[in-house]
Amino acid sequence: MPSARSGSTPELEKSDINLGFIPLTDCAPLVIAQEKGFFNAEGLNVNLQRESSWAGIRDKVGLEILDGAQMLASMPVAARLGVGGPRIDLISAMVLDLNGNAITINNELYNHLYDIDPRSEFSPLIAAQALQCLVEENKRAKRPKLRFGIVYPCSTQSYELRYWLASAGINPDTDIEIVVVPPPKMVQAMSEGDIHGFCVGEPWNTLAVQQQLGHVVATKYQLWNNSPEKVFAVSESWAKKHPGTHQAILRALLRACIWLDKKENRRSAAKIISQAAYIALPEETVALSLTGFSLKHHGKPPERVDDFHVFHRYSANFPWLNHGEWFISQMYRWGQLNVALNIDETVRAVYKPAEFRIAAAAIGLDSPNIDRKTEGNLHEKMMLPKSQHLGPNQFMDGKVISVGGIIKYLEQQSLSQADIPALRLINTDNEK
Amino acid sequence: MKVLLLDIDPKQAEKLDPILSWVGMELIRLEPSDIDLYHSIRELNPEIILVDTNSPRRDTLEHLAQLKPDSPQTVFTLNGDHSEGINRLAAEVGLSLYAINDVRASLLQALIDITISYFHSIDRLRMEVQAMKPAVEQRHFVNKALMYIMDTYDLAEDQAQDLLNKNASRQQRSVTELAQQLLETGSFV
Repeated sequence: MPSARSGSTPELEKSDINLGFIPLTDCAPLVIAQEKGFFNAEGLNVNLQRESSWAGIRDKVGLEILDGAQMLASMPVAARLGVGGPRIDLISAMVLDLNGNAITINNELYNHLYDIDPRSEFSPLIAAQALQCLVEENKRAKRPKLRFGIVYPCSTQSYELRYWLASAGINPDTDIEIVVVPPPKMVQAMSEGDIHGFCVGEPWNTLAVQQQLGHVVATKYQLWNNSPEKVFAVSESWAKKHPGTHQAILRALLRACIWLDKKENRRSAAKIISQAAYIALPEETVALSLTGFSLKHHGKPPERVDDFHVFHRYSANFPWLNHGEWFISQMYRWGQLNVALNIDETVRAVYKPAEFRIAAAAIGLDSPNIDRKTEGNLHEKMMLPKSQHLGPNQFMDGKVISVGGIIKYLEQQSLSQADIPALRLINTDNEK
Repeated sequence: MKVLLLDIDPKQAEKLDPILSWVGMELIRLEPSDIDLYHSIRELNPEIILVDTNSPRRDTLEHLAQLKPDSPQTVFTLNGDHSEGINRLAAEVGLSLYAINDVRASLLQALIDITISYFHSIDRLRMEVQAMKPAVEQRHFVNKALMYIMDTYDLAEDQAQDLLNKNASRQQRSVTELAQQLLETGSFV
């Protein structure tokens, strides 16, 4: 009798694979999986396709023109709900990285904030308050609204910028103007005076500071320590047809993320991803944040921020359901979503921790046993230096979200358009 | 009905031009220098937007769609159903479609179908023309060679053709080849 096939290498339904990426520092997991042979080792022949818009990536994955892609962590959730675009059933079983974004404002605006309160230099909270003073002054003087650039309407950057502004009572929908600019055009738009500030991923913040166009007033890490940034997403129907291939891609990406999180590899990662086929920017620009330096002000040395980009440690790759809940809470807060729905059901449809656990176990990694964790309860100073399983997770405003407490959290948010009673009614089973 | 073409290269736009004007749609184009899409799209108020699938400005279109629900929205399905046409429009023609909600799905379906088949037929015709070219060129050589023989040896056309054929078969070469040599060197051998 033939012996049962060993379970170590399930069959690939497909081995020629097209994956999409956007030229940003955190396309690194896909590029490294390709360049270091992690895809090859899984029997995958991968073609990495550089894409020029998030909408393009979303549609191509939805139409299965691409097999999978790097995506903003909020995108698969937004697409599932048809928020800010068509309804597309995408899923994600893996987070590619944490942190990595920043808010940069032009020199003129920075000087204004600095004049109002010089602590704007290092405190995102104070910078936002100074900005609020300026916004009020502009209103009284009937000056045009300040313009801020983001890369996609329902992006992580949009929610981060909004979070920062709202922390000082600035209404992002009425007090300022938000426009969408493609990442490679962001710095140019600032230099041409089209926008006064932006929230974007690296290396574009570093580039703007290096070109002496602006100052970084907040990093994503400062707004919410170790929050999810990009995920690997595929369409739900693709995942059903190609479970073996999906797992093989996840394993290769996980190996790439482990490789990327080793300090000694960051320099060569910068060399690889800055190449013309990927980001096409000077290696030195890309290397700065990747090797753990946050450049905020020209003429001042960059700050050491080891966690500027996190690719693996702190259970970074695990698709925490509560992260999906946070994105949904922000969609309600800003009125992008106004139909009360079962939040638990939605995030479970999109984020796939079970798939992740299979891939992690296959390469000998432990995964969290729970699908949700509390956010905002771990401060940097509480952590052991070598803590690997969980990292700091504080919000800039000191809020805490307990497991099952997303509606309670949403209720505390200022400027919120969420219909809390309606949400409570439909989410009674899950809410504590 | 106003159709805006955005970031579509001139060759593609040229192909779209007749289709859209045949069905009586008004074509508007944006100059690449027209950077402020927010302003220009509000000004122009298109009902349909055709954009290069790989245009970096697509995310701005998404934002405009979100800001104003009555402005063109991404068309990903038709009447809520998966459409092979939308897939082929993106994958084969490289176009993405935005339309205001009032535009009927059947109209969009027709527009997609016509565009795909027209693009394919143009590409097919180009290939066929390309395949015909060598045959036409060969005939051109033979005709010129016959003229040359008629002039040089003072022969009638059928006699010239006969001479060329006989020489070719004696040398076991094709008539075209020999004609080409004759034109280049003036000699049969």
